[in-house]
Amino acid sequence: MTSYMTWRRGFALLCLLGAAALRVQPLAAQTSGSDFPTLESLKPASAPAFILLNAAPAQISRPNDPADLAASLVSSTNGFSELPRDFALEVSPYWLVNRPTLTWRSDITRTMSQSLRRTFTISAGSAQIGDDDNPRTGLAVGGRALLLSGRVSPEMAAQLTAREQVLAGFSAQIQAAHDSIRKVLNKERTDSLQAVLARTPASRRGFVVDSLEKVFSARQGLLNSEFLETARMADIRKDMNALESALIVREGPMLEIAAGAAWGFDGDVWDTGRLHKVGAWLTYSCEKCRFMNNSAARITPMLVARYLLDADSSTDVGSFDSGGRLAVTANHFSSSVEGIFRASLGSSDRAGAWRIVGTMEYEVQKNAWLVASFGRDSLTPTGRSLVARFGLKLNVVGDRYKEEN
Amino acid sequence: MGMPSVSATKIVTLDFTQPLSFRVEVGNDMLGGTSFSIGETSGTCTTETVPVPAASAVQFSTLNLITTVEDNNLATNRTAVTYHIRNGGREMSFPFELVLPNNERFALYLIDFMFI
Repeated sequence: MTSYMTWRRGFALLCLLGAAALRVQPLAAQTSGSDFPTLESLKPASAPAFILLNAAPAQISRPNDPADLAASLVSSTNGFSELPRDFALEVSPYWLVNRPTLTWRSDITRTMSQSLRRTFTISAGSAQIGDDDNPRTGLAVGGRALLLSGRVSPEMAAQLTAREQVLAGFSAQIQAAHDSIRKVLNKERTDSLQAVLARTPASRRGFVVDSLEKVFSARQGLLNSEFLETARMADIRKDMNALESALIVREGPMLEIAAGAAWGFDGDVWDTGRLHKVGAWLTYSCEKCRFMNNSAARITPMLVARYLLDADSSTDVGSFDSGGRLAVTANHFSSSVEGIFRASLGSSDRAGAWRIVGTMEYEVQKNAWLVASFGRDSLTPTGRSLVARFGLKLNVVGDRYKEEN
Repeated sequence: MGMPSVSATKIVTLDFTQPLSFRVEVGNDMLGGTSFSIGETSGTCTTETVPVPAASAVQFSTLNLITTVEDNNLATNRTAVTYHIRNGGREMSFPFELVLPNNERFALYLIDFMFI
């Protein structure tokens, strides 16, 4: 065991020196020397409307209800009298209204229709897409939704159940801190209720009860507001905020569709509006999928297809790119095959280009991976389409394959 | 500033010859846990139905409930809690909701039920 460890350390050091001498090259599958896309770049990184405007809004308005949505639209368009400027909105119609009966337990699995409704978001935005000499306002709308959104795993469900026990524990701490107020309130209310009901005829009882509820609620609200400002409550709140967020992570097959269109308006004049860009995306992945139950090996497939039309371009009517990756990881070893294909559309000079690269990785030391890849990458700027790389990758951020929600 | 909260008192007419129980439902795909107290009985619950012992002895008593809800839903800031009270074959539901500011993660529901 000791000699094996010594060998591993020595081998890692050798690789480090070798890598330093060779200045490890980025893998073809992870970078692009031309406008040929990488697999990751084919996925919609943000809402379709913002991608089509090539905008990264600092602030995105996310209304909570229809009134918020209306207020956001009115303020951004100056009462619907002008084109919105630097506007970014993302809204989920399903979540605009209260869902009091949708518990996380009832959302462990979803039908396709439920998934579509619960994940559908509409995005809209505006941004300057011209320059100082030719000002042009771009306006875009888009939508995205998950047709398949996986499930909450039994392990995740157990974590959430445990978290609810923690929350119940905080409630008990608050109840204990609230005890003296509770006793005073209970006595006050019981005395008043008994006294009032004793002299109220049955015919007026409903009205009296409604009135008492309002009076009692107001008194309770007043005392509770003071209680929530106490030092004891501040301590409990501090403990609560120290908890890490418990986001519900779903796993299994994920199928996302997204599409959008953008228009450009020269000089902010409505009549000059014309189509600027159109885009559509389809992404399939399977988060935390395993070869079989209880297997340590994890299989992570991903399929991506993207159509982009730049209506302003005189040389290209659009591009259709598709690609996929199949990665298998197990303990200190991972391998993947990744391919991208650009279909022939219009006059694209990249039409018919394709790339396929196989990669094998071995963890020689914690967060230090020996990487070898081999494949073909057509239309590289140098014309050399052979991919044959060997290097060392230092990974200081965590998992090799990021598991997204 | 105090924690975002909802306070309310509800007066509920019961048939004290019938068994009494309650259940707390946290909506909008969020997490929550509740502490309850009535007379000398107290405890915590999440989703289970909690029977109130000696229903015949709770007239003019108050069921104090405190529910802590954690907003773990990225799609909305709206929290919702529904208290279900079952008395014999009759179920009464009392829904409450609270929209959290963007920088808040927890909502507190302090709801009291007085039984007559």
